[in-house]
Amino acid sequence: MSTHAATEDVFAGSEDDKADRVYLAQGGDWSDIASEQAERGDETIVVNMGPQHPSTHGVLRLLLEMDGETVTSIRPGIGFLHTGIEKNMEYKTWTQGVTYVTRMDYVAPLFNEAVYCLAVEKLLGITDDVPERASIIRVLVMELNRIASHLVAMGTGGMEIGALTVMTVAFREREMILDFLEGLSGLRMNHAYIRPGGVANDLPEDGLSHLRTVIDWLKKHLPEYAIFCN
Amino acid sequence: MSETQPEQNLPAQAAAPASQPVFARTEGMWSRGSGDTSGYGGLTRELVMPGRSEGPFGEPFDGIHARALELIPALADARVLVDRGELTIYVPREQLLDVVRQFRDDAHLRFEVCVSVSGVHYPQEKGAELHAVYHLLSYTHNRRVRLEVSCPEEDPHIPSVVATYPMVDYHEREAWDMFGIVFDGHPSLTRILMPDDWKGHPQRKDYPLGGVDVEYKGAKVPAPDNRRDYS
Amino acid sequence: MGIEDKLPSGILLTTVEGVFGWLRKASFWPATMGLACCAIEMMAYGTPRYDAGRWGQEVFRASPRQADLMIVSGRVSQKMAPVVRQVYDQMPNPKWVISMGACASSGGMFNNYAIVQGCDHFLPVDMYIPGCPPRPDMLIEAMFKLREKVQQRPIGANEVAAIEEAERAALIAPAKVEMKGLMR
Repeated sequence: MSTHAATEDVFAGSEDDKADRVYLAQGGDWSDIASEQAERGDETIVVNMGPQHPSTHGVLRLLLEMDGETVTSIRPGIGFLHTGIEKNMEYKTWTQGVTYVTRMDYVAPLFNEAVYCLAVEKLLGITDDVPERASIIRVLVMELNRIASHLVAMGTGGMEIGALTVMTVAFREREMILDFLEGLSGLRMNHAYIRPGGVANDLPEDGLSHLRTVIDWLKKHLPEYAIFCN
Repeated sequence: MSETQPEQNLPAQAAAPASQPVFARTEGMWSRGSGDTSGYGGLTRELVMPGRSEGPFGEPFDGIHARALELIPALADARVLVDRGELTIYVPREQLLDVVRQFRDDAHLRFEVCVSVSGVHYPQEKGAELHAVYHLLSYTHNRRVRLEVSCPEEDPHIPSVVATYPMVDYHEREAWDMFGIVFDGHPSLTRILMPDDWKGHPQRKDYPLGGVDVEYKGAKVPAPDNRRDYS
Repeated sequence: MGIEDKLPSGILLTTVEGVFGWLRKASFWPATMGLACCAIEMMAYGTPRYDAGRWGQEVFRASPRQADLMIVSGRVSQKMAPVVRQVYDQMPNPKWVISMGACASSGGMFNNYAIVQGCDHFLPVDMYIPGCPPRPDMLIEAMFKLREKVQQRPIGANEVAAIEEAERAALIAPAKVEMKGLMR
């Protein structure tokens, strides 16, 4: 118990905040007080996990208040990827808007396109005129994209915790899916494929057999993830 | 994908909403009067917003509207719009906090989630240029409603609903950043998407797109907002 | 800097240059500056199909202090630009920059207030890759072209001379804007 510690701050005014710990400095004792406070170790430190960081896939700034290794509070800082997409879209036609919207969430671009196209079709009143085959292709392609996006999530998640092989196998599966999407729309990512009124083009002739190959591959390899991560 | 909308949710015979007055008339598609030979030069379009609907709207909108009027009688003369299967209530900003609290707490309404708050800027609608649109979702009753609040550009204040729906914190910051709508009562209304010292509110219609002319070896392609005269 | 600075220009320096160049290009560590969609293709570049480990690049260093190469992949927004520049400044020499994708090279399709029209507004870029996003194959091609460049980089006294030469050439070269009639 130090001779410098006091229980109450006799000099505090009525508006001052209540202090956690009070020291009375009486002269020639600053190093004692400083070392005592340093030993207490109950202060939280603020760490800036800045926008560029291996864990923050994409750019996210986190201000962490940490008590040792435990994070007590987080304040996220965002906006490092603000692109002004909506403002750009004001100068484009409805179909060109698809190419902008598709880059909003770049891991699952077809979902952005689908949402946008559904909204446009609702505004135009043509929701019932979209061909059924186009709707089915939309669902099919969105499901594949969902699997691809989750594979990225699992892969990078595994990479964070040190399971590096999960990353390689996840992307191997993703390449299979992207092959199919490339055969369908011409692009691996950011396909402007779902457009207002339907989709850009029909499946290629070997589309369904390619799809079956992809599904068989996935069925065979997806159980590996449980083995890797358990 | 054309989801089969549950038939009972569509208004059975909702009257088509009466439109607002025409707020702009455009002629031609682009290049007004400058040698445009595309044939689109003869087009005349009148831009008009869907206005207000008179009841009955059909379920479930009638239920929501009736209950809202029971709880907040001041909403009796608020504009209501049922268009394309969606209900929009135009709430005056003085009543917003009350409306939002009742919509969340009342058992018949129970809109637990405010999905998003968007800003809109209508420069032509003098006196109510900036709108904030609240999309509410009810898990219990599986339905959605939209509240739209407007404020003039000279006095861009709207009460903040963070106390009722904490998740609109970031959404309101974005509406402030992009449109300049000041949400009174927001805990920390700061720039969120633009750098902290940015001036201006980018998504307003009178804010320029800010593009740069693309120049390469003598050729110049103008920025998107300068290429054509978009009527 | 090191012993190579004290070597006089000549056969010995050229041989050492060759060795240094080979060492640098064979173990060329990228720093993660994955910003947007191109970052996903950059991650795919490190994965088994487009294996970057074949030429020593599978370690994407987290810390810029340990990295040689910064691949700016994705759109650089106004808010992010100072951060990118700071990370670049933290990298030790010699360092190279690849600007991957249309958005990093020139602002891409986003010609607006929020995106810096090309990371060469604030970084010296060694290799530009077009595409939106460029396939990992294109990144491989760019990487090989850059490795040529890395192999040829002079060191010591030769490097000082090369920098002066480059500066002199850049000062007398015509501005791109004045080079007319080349767009066909």
